[in-house]
Amino acid sequence: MKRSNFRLSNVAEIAERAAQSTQNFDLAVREFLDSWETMPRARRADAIADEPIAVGRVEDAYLAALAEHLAERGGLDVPTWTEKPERFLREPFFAGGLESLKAILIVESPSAFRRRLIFISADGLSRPHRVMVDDESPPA
Amino acid sequence: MKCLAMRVGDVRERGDIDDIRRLGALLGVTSADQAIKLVSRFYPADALPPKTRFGLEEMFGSGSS
Repeated sequence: MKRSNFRLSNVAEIAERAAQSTQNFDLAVREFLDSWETMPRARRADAIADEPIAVGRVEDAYLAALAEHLAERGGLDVPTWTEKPERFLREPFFAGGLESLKAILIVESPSAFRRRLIFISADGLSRPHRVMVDDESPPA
Repeated sequence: MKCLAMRVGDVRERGDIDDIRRLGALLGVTSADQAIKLVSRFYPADALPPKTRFGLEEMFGSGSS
């Protein structure tokens, strides 16, 4: 896999990198989330405005869910491309692959993901710096 | 930390699940009881969220150590 040194600045680039095999899809999502956290508010609408190319059934729905989730969290308009039928799954997808977590993921999954039948944990999109800030320290 | 969070949000990868499996193998963990005892050295056992227990039981088996 070729590596890209450019930081991701929009959702569409996640799909481009995955399609061109310059970066693994999950890694590209994480890198984009890191960019999003430090992105000026004025640039955030542009970062989710363009529809990504199709890369896979789950990935296509996942990127729409991600864009909708970030838009709602940031008080931005949800891009219209996220509502296209091909941006929704017909069969559920559960992240992690553990049967025992399915019921919990159904409850926890953010609404933009859940309504597309994508089930992730509530903190599934959190990045390490955020976890360190939000979590309590272990007892001494 | 990974056991407590049990974060899953990836499409192809398995997030914390694979990391926990790898750590368990490195530490010689062979059952969920062992895994929970290990985690309980750092976090109170009665404060572990259900998903941590369920996840560890499925990953390492629910038999006693």
